[in-house]
Amino acid sequence: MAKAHEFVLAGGVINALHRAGSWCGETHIQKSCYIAKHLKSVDFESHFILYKHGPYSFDLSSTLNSMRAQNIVSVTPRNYGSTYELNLSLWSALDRAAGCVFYRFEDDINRICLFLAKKNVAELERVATAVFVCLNFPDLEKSKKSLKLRELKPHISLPEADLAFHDAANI
Amino acid sequence: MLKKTKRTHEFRDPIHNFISVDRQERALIDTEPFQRLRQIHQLALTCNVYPGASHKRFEHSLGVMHLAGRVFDVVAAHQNRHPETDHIFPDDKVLDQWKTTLRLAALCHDLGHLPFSHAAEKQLLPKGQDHESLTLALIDSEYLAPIWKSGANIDKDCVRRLAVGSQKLCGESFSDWEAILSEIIIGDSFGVDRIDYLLRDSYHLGVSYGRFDHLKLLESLRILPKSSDEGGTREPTLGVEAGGLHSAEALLLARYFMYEQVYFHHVRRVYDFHLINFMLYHYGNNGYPVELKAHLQQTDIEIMAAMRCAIHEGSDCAELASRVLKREHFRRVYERNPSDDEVARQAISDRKLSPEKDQSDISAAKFIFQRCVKCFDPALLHFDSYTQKSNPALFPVLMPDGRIEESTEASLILGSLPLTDVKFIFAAPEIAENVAAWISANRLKVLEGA
Repeated sequence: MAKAHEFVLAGGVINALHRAGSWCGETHIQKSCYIAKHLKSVDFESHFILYKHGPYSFDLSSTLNSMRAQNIVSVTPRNYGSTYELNLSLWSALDRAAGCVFYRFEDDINRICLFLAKKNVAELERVATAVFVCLNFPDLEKSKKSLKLRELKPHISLPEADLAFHDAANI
Repeated sequence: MLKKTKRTHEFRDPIHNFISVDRQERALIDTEPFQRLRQIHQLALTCNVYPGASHKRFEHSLGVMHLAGRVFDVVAAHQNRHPETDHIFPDDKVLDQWKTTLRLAALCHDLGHLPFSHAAEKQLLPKGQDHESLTLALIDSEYLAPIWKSGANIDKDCVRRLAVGSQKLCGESFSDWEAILSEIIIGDSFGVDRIDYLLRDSYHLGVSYGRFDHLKLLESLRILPKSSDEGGTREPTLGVEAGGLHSAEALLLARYFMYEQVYFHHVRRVYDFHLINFMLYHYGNNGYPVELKAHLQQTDIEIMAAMRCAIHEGSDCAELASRVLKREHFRRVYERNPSDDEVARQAISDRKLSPEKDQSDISAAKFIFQRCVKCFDPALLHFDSYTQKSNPALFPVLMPDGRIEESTEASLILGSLPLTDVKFIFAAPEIAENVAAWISANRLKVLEGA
């Protein structure tokens, strides 16, 4: 099972997304955690790869399932996909057991979740993949980044890719 | 000697009746790495619980190859292609080559398994390695090199990607088409690896949980955009057309029941525990031999022989071997109970019960186990926990009106499918009765934070 602090950080992201008005599906959680880890050095151990919908972590998916199995999060199917909700009292107990790790990253997580909260799945995929391109191909000229994104995700158009990089720059 | 003229060969199979292979596939089957699978049990020591579970990875791999070819034919058929994903298909002229690549990859997908399959993999292999690493090494090795040079012009690197998937090869780039083909073999929702093992395991064990209308499901598979909503992604994904939704439900229910009743049967789990302990002792400080020649010499036979030898000679690990061969395995004294879990959660919320430092498992079973180890010899106790890692019930469904819906919206059953989550406390037979009695008398006090 993932360590307690992984549960705490993931739970903190879920809570922050809800407070920012998100319907908080798994894609929101995945992309928020990815950006938090790779842009703000939030201490996630989950390993991310480029997969469906952009950067994705099977470790994080497993963490979310473990949390769900223990009712630390609940998952409710909705019209547009399942929504995750946090049991705050159980989460707080885990945070105390993990040495109150969340407060160190609270501001960064809140900012990222506020930025991503209202985006739909397609927008999340694009902006997270744009961040992936920036981080993994840092020497690529700005004019070639959108082409690279399209190479990785051919179903994303060039104008959409351009917009995604513009968006990512605002994180 | 008769001249070999047969261009195809057939295997009789209890699940698929006939499995045909061409010369190149037959050549792969005849290699040492593949023949070794005849001595690797599909279900480790489950035969100690269900005596019929004697089937091997050999016939399972043939079944996966057979199903992979069938799915390829269905999804690649022009009349089954969705207009939004038509662009990912290669030219018709090379489709046969891709089908051959897929079938070869399906044959290879389990080559790297250790003795007794998954049982001891994590503990025995160096960190960062798993049976897929060994599979890749074997595909790249001289053992299989003649296969890639014979017959159709097959790209070995493509076989690697399809056999193992993007999760394990995260440094490599997969085209949309390769990602789909890999999903056909090892995908979480409809991978033919799962379809074959559910049917095969069910057949051999004599249980009906794993059976479902797989033929209908295969005929209903389609490559679809993930969503048709404006805000959804158009990424191509393996899904079903609406007529096959019930067979998809049946597959995922079969999976759930087999996990609950067979794969996580408490005796099977405790045998895995004892087997791991024996294998750790057997391989010693050097660990499992990952050098390919040595790996190919390791099968279930060597481990069973080592266990029998340990008992007959009364060696240091005789007790470990006896746990398996003489049925002196640990006994179940507690298992996960939703009511107890609720009591624990309430106590945690009320701050009467607190997780220990860095504890992430807040189940009732965990708290009870923590107390047990203070009252009894920890060496005679074992805590076993498994939670399902992914949610295979998420896939696109092509509705009759052309919309794409997510499976959990289209199906009430899939939206409510529970996660497999098992927790057991085991105790050595010599103290099991006492431990069970102690738990019965004290569990509520423990969970209420007393």
